Amino acid sequence: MDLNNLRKSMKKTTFKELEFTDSHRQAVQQKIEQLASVEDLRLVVLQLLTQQKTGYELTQLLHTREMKGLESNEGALYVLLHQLEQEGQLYAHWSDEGEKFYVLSKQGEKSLAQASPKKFAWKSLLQG
Amino acid sequence: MDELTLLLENAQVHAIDELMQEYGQDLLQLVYAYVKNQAIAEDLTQEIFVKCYQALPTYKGKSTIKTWFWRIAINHCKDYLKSWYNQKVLASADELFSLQESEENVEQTVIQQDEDARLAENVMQLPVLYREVIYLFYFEELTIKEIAQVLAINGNTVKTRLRKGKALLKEQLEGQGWT
Repeated sequence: MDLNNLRKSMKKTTFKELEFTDSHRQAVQQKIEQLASVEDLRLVVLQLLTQQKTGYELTQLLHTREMKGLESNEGALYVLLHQLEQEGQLYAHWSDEGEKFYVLSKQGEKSLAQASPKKFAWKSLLQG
Repeated sequence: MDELTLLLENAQVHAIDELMQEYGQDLLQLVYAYVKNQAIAEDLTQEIFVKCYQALPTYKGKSTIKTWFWRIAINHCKDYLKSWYNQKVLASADELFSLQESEENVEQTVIQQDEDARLAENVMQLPVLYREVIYLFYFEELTIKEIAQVLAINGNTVKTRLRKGKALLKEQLEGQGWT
C-alpha cells in the first residue's frame, strides 16, 4: 500500500470525469451579480428613507439612479419595502390625503449605520 | 453609493474570479472527496464560491486566503453531509449501491488488477474522519499544521487520525487480497 501514489491514482480514476468548467464559473458570477444588486438596492432604499417618502417618490428617485433589478420590475420595490417593514427596518403610515409614506425606523437607522463600515473591513487596510 | 465602495465591490468580484481560476478544479475535487457524487459536488462547489464572495469582507488576513477558503469549503461539505436530505434520501440509496458493489468485487478481484484504482476506491470508502486527513495529507500534500488549521483541530489529533486511517486502509486492502 503506497499512499504516495494517491495523487496519481485518484487523478486517474476518481477524478477522471470531474472538471470545473467555464460554465460553472459563469454560473457563480451570475449568482454573485444577483446578490450584489440586491444588497445595493436595500442599502440605497434605506439611505433614501432617512426622510419619509412615498413609494412613488422612491420609484422616481431610483429610476434616475438606474438600479439593477428594478429596470423592468416596479413591483420588486414594493416587495422590498414590504420585506423591510416586516423586518422592522421601516414604518409605513398614511397621510391625510391618503398617501402611504415610508420612513426609516430606529432599527433601520442602526442597520444603515452598521452597513457601510462593516461591509468592507479591509477598507481600513487601504487607508493605512 | 460612493466611488470607493464601488471600487471595492468590483475588487471583490474580481477576487472571487481569481479564486475560481486558481482553485476551481482543486475545490471540485475536494468536495467530491467528501460527497462522492458528481452532480452534488458541482452544485456545492458553486455554492462555496458564492459563500466566499459573501464572506470576503470578513477576511482579516489571520491565515492565508487558501486556508480561510478551504475551511469554508470543508464546513459547507460537512453541513451537507449532516443535512436531512443527505441522511435520509441519499443514504439509503448508497447502502443499496455498496451492497451490490461487494457482490461484484469477488469477480473483479481477478479482472481489475489495477492497484491504483483499488487504492483510490478504498480511500473513498473510508469514514469521512479518516478520509479527509488522508486526502489532505497525501493528495493535497498539506502539512500537519495546515491540516490542523483547515479542520480546526489539534495537530496531534491529525496525526492520530492519519495513523488510524492508514491502519484501516491496510486492513481493507488486505481483506480484499491486496497489500
